[in-house]
Amino acid sequence: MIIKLENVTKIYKIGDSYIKALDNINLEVEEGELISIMGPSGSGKSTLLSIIGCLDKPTSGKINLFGFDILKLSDKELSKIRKNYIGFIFQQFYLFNYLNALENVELITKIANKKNNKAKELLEKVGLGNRLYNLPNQLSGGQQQRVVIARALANDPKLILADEPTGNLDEKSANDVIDILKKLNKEEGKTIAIVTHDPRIAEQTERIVVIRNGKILSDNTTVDEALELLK
Amino acid sequence: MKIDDYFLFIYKYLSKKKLRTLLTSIGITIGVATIFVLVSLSQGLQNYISNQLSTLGDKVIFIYPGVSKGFSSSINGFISNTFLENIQRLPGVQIAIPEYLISTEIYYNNNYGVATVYVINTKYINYLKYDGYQIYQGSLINNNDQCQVDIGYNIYKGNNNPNDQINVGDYINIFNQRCEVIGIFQETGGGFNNEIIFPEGYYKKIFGNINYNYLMIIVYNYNLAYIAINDYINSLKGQSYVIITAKSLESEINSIVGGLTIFSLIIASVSLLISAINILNTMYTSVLERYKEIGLLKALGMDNNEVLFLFLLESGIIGLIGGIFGIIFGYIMSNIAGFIFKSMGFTALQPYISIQLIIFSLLFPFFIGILSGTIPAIKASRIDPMIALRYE
Repeated sequence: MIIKLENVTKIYKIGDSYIKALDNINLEVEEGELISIMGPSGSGKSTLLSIIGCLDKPTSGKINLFGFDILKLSDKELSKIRKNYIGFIFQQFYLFNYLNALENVELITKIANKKNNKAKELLEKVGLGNRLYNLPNQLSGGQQQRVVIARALANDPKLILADEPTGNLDEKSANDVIDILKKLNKEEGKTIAIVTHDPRIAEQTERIVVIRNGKILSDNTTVDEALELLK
Repeated sequence: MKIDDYFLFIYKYLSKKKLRTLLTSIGITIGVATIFVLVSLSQGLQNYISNQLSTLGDKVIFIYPGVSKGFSSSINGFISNTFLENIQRLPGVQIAIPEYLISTEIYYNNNYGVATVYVINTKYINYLKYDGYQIYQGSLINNNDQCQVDIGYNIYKGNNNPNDQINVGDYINIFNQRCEVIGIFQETGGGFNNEIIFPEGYYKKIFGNINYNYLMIIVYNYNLAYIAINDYINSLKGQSYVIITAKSLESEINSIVGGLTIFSLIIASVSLLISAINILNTMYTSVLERYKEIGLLKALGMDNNEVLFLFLLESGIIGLIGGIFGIIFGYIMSNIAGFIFKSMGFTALQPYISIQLIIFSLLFPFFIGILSGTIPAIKASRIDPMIALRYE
């Protein structure tokens, strides 16, 4: 078991009112799974991803990631989990615009103080071998997102979390990105969780989790059922 | 991250923000350059003075009647025979040489000027070397009863007028007498350049008698003699005397130069304070602008302390850049100043750039940068990555 959430609830305070972003979530993910989390905006799917990514803590519940009881860890220990176990892919590409593609990927290895620098190899793998020294603004959206994927892989994480990875991409680039993610899952056994509202993405994953109003409506359904639930 | 990775990351960011970085550090540059110029010139001056005074060493003590008020002391009164004899008998004293010191007009060629004349018996003439006099051309005066003089370097040069240069063997008119120039003293940074040494015997021939007003005391035991002279003078009632030694002169000059330096440093620190606020402002803006980026760094695994360190180092480096440019400009300006002073005749005012000054000019702005960056860096370290990444 790589992810185990038990009765996880997250309540945000906005002004004087409280919003229940996650309501008693139970979720288990095995190592090597490729899952998608579907839901409309405001459903709590991004909050769920933040909590799994150790960027946020739940109001109540239990979380076990990679065998660690996450709620017992300090901020410093959580940042270690992030840099050693998790690769992030965001909807916006979030690259450092003053670093070239190679430097953006290497930065992660440097933050983690790791010696084996696979940045070049990873960029070649995502098809950017000829764009190593380009700054982000010299790359297309799809290329930038592929740099982000290479970066997410730089520390050889067990888990890759992708928040709307194709949200800002055209169809062709989106397909490229999904293909890369699928390949990583199949060939290297990476556990991958993708948050999306795009059924074309979701249908390519093995397991679809549907979330709405902070609750899991259905786990392991088909795309059609999911779309029905989300209507 | 390793330290060189921090430097590389900061370098990449700052080189993208070149203009802002330079504008931010310009205050530091001005402050450091000002300090650099002031300190190098005053250190140069102090070194020069110590050097000059060390020729006096601890072999000579001067006494003249009068009152000392800082530099505005003047001779007022005379030295009696009794006083001279009593000084001569004090322990540690080798010989007390009476002199008459007067400022008078001299005429030469078609020009005239004012010189400080030391009237001294030629039998003591060889003791002048203890006062730092060195012959440049000719020789020291040797006949007490003839009208002959030694002249300072400025007088020899006709006060920088080539047509009026006075050579050995020429004559000048002093005390309405035509006197032969026997020797010329070497140029110094100090007071000897406008002096004339005049024989006591000939002076008496002109004026009938002489009233000594200046005592040059050669000592063989400085401490013993200094204490004895001080005690003796303090025991006297009525006439007051001023004692001058190399050490007293040096500490007096140093305290004046030191005072000037401190005053200028205070002015320079005002500009540094303003530039510190400037750095604070830039770093604060930078943290706001890079809100998402900081969130990203944290999401990617940097902890609070690493973010804090990154931003402290960055603002320290902005200060350091200012410091480096400050040293470059300061070096150029202090040399220009030295050149100007030299061409104006103040050969003493040459910059002295010590290694301490350079180290200070690097470390001080670095720490100013770190200090000004502290609040923004703490703010950066506390950014919540989740909120930052969603921030629009």
